[in-house]
Amino acid sequence: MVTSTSHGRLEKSRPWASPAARTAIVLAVIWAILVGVTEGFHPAFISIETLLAIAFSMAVVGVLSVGEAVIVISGGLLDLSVPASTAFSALCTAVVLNHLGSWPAAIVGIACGCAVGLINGALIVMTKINPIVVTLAVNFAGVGILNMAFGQEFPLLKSGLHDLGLNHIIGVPDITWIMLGVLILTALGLNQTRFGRHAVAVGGGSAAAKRQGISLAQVRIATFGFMGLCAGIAGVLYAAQSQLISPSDTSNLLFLPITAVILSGFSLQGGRGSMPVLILGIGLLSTVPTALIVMGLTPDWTQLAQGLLLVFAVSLDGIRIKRGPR
Amino acid sequence: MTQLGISRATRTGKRLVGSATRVLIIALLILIAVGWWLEPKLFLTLQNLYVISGAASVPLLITVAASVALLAGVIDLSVGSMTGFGAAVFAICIGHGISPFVAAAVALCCAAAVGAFNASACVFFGANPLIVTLGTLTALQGLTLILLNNTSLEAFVPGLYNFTNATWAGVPVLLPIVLVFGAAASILLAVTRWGRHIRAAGGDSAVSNRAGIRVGRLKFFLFLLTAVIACVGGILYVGQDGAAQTTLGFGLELQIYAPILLGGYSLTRGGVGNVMGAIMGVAVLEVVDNILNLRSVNPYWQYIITGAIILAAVYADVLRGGERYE
Repeated sequence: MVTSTSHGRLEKSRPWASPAARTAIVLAVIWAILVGVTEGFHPAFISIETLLAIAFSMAVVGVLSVGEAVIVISGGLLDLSVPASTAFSALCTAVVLNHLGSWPAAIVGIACGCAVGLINGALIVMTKINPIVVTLAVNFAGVGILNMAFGQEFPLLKSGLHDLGLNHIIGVPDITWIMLGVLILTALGLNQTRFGRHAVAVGGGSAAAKRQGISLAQVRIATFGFMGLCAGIAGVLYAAQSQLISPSDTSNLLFLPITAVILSGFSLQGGRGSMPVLILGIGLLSTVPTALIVMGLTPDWTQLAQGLLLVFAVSLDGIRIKRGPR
Repeated sequence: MTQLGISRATRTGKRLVGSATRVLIIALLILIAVGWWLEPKLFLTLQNLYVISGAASVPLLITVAASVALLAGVIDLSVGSMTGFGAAVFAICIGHGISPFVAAAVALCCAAAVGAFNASACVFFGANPLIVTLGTLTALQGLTLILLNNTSLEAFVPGLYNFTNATWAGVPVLLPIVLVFGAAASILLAVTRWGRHIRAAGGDSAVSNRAGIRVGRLKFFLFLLTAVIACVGGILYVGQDGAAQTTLGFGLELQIYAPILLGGYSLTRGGVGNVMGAIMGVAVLEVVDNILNLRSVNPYWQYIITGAIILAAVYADVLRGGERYE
């Protein structure tokens, strides 16, 4: 577990009382209530089709959440440029796919996402501007550039990448397995490698970490670059499940990952959070849009719900920061 | 945190940037010269002055309120959606045959409620205002679309139409009224005790609290003020257009905060900047906008320019000795 808390003794004697475990239980209960209520409104909700739909949306939201989680735990606040970087990756994947085939497309897509992340990291390190402001501006400019470069809608040809988007292994879509793989590798990377532990240490207290000889600039560029990598993967996964892509499609991918990460107990203060709990957060937040659609509500309601959920999560985190040990 | 010792970069920055308002006046003169050079027949005409001031009036009104609030460190990114939401509520009330004054009162009350919602999350729960109001921004967009049922709603109010479209010596009457409002805010901030409290609360809220200023209450009020003025802007837009558009207010928040930042404010610390700077910022951005429109440049260039302006303005604040990230 990547949890680094100061609740020492209590936690050892009663592992279920650790903050991470409590968050996990609360998330699981809310998820169960959400599914139960939706099933009550619309009895056909628990079916293979809806479960598949949720698994599909979990893939893209999940990969993005993993990236945001790394940013948050390393104290980089948030990356708000996700819509632009994911759309950039998906559109570049589409262009290369139509000319060269699946593998080059996936590689180019991931590289494009990575490039946006590295630009974010470099801007933050060079200008010392708050990452929220940097990524907000990069997103705004990026969406403008993408709209000018790619026009309104971009068609994708049938290809091997689409087979990846459609195939299942043991009933679960391939792309959801990819998401789980990214999550597990990231958890191991944060926990087991020296660089990962440095990143968590920077999140816990950047001044102390700097005094220990950890380069803050390296950590920032690496974590934002990693977020870009995740956005690149998410873009490729997004391209794998769509026939038409337009630059504004990804605008609703900004809030779900951020809310999932904060609700899973990652504090915006940095240094705290547990990757296994994140799976529950991703599952819960991916269920919300599907549940609202099954209830017969328009996408506008999804937008309303996403905004309110984000405010709720950030308020919860605010209380946590106020109460918790500084 | 501001640094104790002033670094060399800060000193150079102070020399380079100087007073933001002075720089903006020079920039405005240069832009007017450029506009005249590029479009000699169209730019310096009474009709173009009418176009510019007509487009600038409502954003200017909201900018004045938002800049007063930002002086106390209150940032509200939901002003754009609030404008659309206020317009929608007003138009719906008019559609039900309610008298315009009552309709306006209903819309303003709804706006105040949303402002109180933002304020509770940020002031009482200590949540990050940038993220909370970003959530409200999306939620309000969804709510507006739900209320309007995804179509623009006609609402023609003769008195309001005549007022918002009336001209005085070739200039919309609205513009001098808004400028008087701005000047009044500027003077109130400089002269009254209330104004000094706002500046102090933004400069250091903990110290101001200990000095007896009720910072929480002040910030709560400023959240309400921003929301209500944004709603007034929405009502004026309904007067100008004779309808509540579904896309009204999309991206307006950046059109408002970019000039505020240009005018010498800081996003992450309060207490610096003045309202005249923000007004000059609006003038500069509107002239840039107008030149791009006259040259019929692709509208997405405005996204890129706004993004770049935000980064440049915040970087100028860092150079002036504003808050540095790490």
